[in-house]
Amino acid sequence: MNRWIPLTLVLVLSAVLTWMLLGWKTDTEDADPYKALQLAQPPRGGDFTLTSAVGPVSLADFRGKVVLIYFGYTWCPDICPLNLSYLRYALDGLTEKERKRVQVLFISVDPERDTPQRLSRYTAYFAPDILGLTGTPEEVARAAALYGAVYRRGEVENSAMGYAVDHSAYTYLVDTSGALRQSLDHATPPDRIIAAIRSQLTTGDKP
Amino acid sequence: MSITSRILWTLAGLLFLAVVVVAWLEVGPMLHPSATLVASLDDTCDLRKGYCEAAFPDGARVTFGITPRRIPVVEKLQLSVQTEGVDARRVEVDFSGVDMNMGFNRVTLARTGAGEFSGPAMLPVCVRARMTWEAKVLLHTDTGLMAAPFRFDTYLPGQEPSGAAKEAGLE
Repeated sequence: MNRWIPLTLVLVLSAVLTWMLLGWKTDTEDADPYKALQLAQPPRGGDFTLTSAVGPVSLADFRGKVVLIYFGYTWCPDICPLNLSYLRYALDGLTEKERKRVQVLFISVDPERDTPQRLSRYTAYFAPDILGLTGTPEEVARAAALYGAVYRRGEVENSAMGYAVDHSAYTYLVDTSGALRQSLDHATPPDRIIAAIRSQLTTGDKP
Repeated sequence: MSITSRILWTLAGLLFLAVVVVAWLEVGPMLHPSATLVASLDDTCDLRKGYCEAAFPDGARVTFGITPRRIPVVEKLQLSVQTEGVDARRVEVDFSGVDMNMGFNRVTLARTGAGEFSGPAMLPVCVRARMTWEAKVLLHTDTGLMAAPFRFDTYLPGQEPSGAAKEAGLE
């Protein structure tokens, strides 16, 4: 008979603890000063699946490689070509062995005009191992949101371009396990891109 | 008391302790929220003309400046912050678009002297029109986070309003 009291206590306390750990949601986010100031949350990155000229491609396909992700578009008049050139110089500065463990993804923020084939031709101007990706507007938006990238279409008067797309110009560095590690500024010099890639390749080699 | 009862009582005691610890961890931050102090926005000061100053209700002051003065987008900028009457452990600057989502753009400045911080930054969005930004200087102190907002406009080269290029020190 004496056992029933502690047994009941154990069962009740187990249930309470389980609820506290799994189901209890205190609004501690209100205690987050960044949230109180309505500041943007740091991007966390994450997996996505988009379309290349050779079919669907997922970020998860490149586990074991360091991935550099850049959001841009082929009609981009200035900053995309500059950034892709710097990425190409960085790739050229790696050893052959290192380069095999690096993938550059160029994700179009202009899915309306950038077909997978057009993207493939465009990225090939810079380097054969830069992969152009596109998708439905929703798929592209979802991938951009994961990395904190924004883009917006703006009309350009008196231009054959028709419209331009304002967009974030970071290059996102993803490590060999698929985690977002760093956002490189626009026009980061190739030697600094190489150093950032190598720091992740070295980390990825550790057991 | 049988051995089984003792084990059950011990287990109940441990579970009770676990419940107390979890409750403390969950509720603690709510009981002691990190304070946030926001300086008032001085919209008469133009960062394109020089340094601007913001005052907090507790008397602390922060001075903020960006060079080059014309504040070009997607080009390297240098930020500098001077604080007065506050001991900031760490200083960040967060850039956001006013009435427009411009993504996550935040940099941490390095301490360069007593109450002085500086570092590089970039407005990383290629914007093809006039754009109003808000830079929040974030001071991390032992008592919480202090934020000083400053606003400025960016333009594409050649699209500055009449006289603005000269005022901004364009060469």
